[in-house]
Amino acid sequence: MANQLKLQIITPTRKVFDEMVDMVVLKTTEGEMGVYYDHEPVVALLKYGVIRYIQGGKKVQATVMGGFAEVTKDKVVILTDASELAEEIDVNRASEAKERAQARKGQTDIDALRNEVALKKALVRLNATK
Amino acid sequence: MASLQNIKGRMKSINSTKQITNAMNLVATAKLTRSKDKALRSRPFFEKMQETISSIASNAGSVNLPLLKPNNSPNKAFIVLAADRGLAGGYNSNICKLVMRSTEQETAKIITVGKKARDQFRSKGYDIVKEVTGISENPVHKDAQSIAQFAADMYKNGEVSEIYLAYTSFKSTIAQEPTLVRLLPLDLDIIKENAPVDEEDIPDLLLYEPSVEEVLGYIIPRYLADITFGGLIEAAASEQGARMTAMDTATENAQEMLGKLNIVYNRARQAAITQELTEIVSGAEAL
Repeated sequence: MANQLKLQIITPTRKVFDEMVDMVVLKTTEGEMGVYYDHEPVVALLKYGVIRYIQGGKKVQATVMGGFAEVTKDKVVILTDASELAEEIDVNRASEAKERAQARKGQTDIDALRNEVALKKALVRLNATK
Repeated sequence: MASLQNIKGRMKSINSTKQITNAMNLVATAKLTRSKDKALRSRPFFEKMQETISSIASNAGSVNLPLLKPNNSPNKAFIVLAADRGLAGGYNSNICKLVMRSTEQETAKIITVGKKARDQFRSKGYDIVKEVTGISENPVHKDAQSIAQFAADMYKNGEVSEIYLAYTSFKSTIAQEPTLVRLLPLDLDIIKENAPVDEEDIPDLLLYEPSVEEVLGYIIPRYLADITFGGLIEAAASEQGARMTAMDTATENAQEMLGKLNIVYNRARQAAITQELTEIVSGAEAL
């Protein structure tokens, strides 16, 4: 195998992922960014979105809820509020959350910002499982 | 010599105290397992966060951000993390003493977490600008965010020139250490000390997407909240550890007292029997 790089996804409550991968596609606030071994060092802000990585020829997706990524020569470290690998996502729970958030949209007695974040998270999770 | 009745009553009350301390010990042990687990799992995140901040900050040079600008207010803010409940040995008072030792009363603005810290600072007449209670045993990230936000706002408005975080770091089940760290202005030396970074790991030139201001503007408030959260989690584990040790000692002491009293009680009983016998014998002789 050609040069691999280390991908770490860390949240305040656990280490989600820490393995060697072939490449990573990050979703930054500026757009998608592919990272191979020996990438230029970068610190980038991330959006709520799906990141992809290739490990042993297999494409895997994972969710990332904001945060930032630090890219160095042979390492990508993602620090984020919450993250799941695609296989960990509970599809039923996510779609329920989506419906709940959509139903609440437009109501005035709720925390609109929080609701929006909840909806965003649910959509990202559903996207990652597709 | 105390009467048999007295000793018996004393033993009874010690025994019920012992049962309470023993029960609290068991509860604390169970809780400790959980919060210790939590603290250990979240550690990589905070270490990485400190590492990243130090590598970013040492590269950043001069960036025009309100949170990086020093101001010359004489006041200092202290975020003190303690418990809501007592009976945890020196846990609460140690952390409060540490803060009181390291500051002048007049210039201190105190943000307390936990009833015990609030009470201690209030009784000494400190200026408490914010108090949070009911979260110390099971902290969530949102609590840390609101505390850090509050402190950062004070800094931005020029009310304080420095922000410190005082928490009890969890070394092991029986050892906890009150710790004071400076959050703002960013103290690069301290950060580096806590998270030794391989010099080669820090690239000379870092690129920022979308821009230095935006990245640091996002990361620094985040850093504050995350470090506060880390402190809360460590403090929660330390609280249980301290309580467990304290209650363990209390139970042991009660056991020891019971043993001693038991000997006294038996001796008194025997003396009473001997005396009764003597009385009977001498009574019979007199007849």
